[in-house]
Amino acid sequence: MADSSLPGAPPDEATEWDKPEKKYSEFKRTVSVFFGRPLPIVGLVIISIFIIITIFGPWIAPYDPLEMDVMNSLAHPSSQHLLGTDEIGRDTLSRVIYGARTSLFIGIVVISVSVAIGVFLGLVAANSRAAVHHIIMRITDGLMAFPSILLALLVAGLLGGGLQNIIIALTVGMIAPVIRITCGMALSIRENDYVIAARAMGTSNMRIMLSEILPNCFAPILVMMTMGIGSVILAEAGLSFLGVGITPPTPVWGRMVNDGYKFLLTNPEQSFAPGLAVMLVVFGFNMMGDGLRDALDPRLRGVV
Amino acid sequence: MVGYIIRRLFMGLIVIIVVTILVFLLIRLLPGDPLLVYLTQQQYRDTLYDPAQLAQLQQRFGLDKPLPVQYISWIGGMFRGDFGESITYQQPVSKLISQRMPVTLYLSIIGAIFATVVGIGFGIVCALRRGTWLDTVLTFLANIGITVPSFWAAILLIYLFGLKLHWVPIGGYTSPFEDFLLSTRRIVLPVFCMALFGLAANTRLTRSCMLEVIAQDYIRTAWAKGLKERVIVLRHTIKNGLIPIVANTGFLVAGLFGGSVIIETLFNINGVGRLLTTALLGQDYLIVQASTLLFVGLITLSNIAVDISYGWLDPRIRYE
Repeated sequence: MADSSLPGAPPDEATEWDKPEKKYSEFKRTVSVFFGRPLPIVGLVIISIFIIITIFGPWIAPYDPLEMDVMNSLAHPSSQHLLGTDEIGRDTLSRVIYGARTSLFIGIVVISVSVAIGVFLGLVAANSRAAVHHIIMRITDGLMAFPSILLALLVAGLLGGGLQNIIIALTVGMIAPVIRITCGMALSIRENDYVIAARAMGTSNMRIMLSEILPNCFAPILVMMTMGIGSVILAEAGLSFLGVGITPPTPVWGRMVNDGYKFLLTNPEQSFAPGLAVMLVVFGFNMMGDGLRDALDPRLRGVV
Repeated sequence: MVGYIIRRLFMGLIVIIVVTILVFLLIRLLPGDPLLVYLTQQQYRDTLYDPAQLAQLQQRFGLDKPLPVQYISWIGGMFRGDFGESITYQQPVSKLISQRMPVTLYLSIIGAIFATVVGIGFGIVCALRRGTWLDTVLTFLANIGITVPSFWAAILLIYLFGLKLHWVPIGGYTSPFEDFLLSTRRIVLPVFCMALFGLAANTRLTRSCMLEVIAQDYIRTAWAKGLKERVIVLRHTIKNGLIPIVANTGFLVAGLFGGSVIIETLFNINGVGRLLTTALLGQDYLIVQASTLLFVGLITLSNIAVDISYGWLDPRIRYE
């Protein structure tokens, strides 16, 4: 189960599901379920497009996102500027394209850091004596009571803007659910026969954690990471919309929506375009997460 | 059941204590000295500034004492309804918050009712008519609803219904006791935007929980013994399928309060969410501290209520 779900699998391998096979492959089943329905594919396509935009941004963008052309400010969409220009004449399309870099970068970094810390603390909480377990889990309960946008807003507002501080703020907002889910999973996996067998064989606690429990947490963690990138990008957009995000003039979608709001009546595309970008990326990650969850869920084996 | 309730209340009490410590430490330990901000603001007014003033202010706001003492006096003050005095507004924080709390509560409660009733309704329809075009459309809309940033949805709706169609006034707030019709017209968009995520999440959750219940053996048995569809749906499916929705109510409340921070700012509604944002940007830390604690405290209370009703609905939970 664990190594059958590595991401980035070539899709062609899975199309032969209907034919009888000599060897049952969990990996092929997973891939075929994932690619068997339209929405996860739509999600994957959207994410791929945005990743291409992120990597090749400088070659795709028609203008420098910081280049000002004051004579041509608040231009309407035309063949020269496909999405018009903003208040100080910067090309909106180029800024939306460059905004993808900031958003995806923050999403991936925040999720990686919070999953690394959260999984570690979750496993520690599941595997330690009552005192340590209760300390970690009660702090987690406390953090879970904060709406994650509020927690990120507090930390970002008090630390001040800037890339590093935003990453810290969003990580603080994301970590508690990771701890809780990992701890819950680890506690339930620990009751399985193979863990009891390993313990009877005299395997050390540490080794059971790393070689029995952690690999079995892999699928839910992968789903959590995929969905989590979407929520991080959404939260980051909210923060920069409120003006506590990345410092200008770096193009970020949330702030662009807010800047364009002033010109909603005359230049609605200034607000609409960056918001649409946020929506598409988050939709892509959510749909991919849904698809992965269904494909990796062993209870759904044979149902879908 | 009594034992279960007592256990839950005890756990809730611990969470509330943890929350107060977190809020307190968060604001004390992070950089940014609110007093320096205050002094620089004062300087614009009367250009007087001497170091003694800083010490005097520290004493006035109790910032010269060690952290545990500050914490205890803060908690003690809270029980007397004293949250200190705002640095920027020069008014008691409790007054500032109690003026704005009814607004936020009104919006949130209507939003919660809307998200719950409509979300569950959509979810039930989707599950019962699985695979039809209605299910496809509603599920797709729900997937959009959990995706769209609330502020962007708000801007789209303002553009369409406010600027183009002129159906609703944009921004501001009127108390429903003053002018019910105007008040309702004004809160339609903000409430919808605050509730959108919860509504969509409820639809998705209800749909999947209902589908899980429909696949159970006892539903097949109910069909096999010839019960009417109405009885099966009402008595067996919905009743069991909705238990997880109750558990989700805590997240709904958290989402509404979190959303109020953004939506109240965007719609210029004078609620606690907007007070919190402006106080945060102006580093007025007593307001930030008190309003955060208020939000998180209310969320914790609703979580306790959810836990207790959950144990009542599903007896298996009680005997964990």
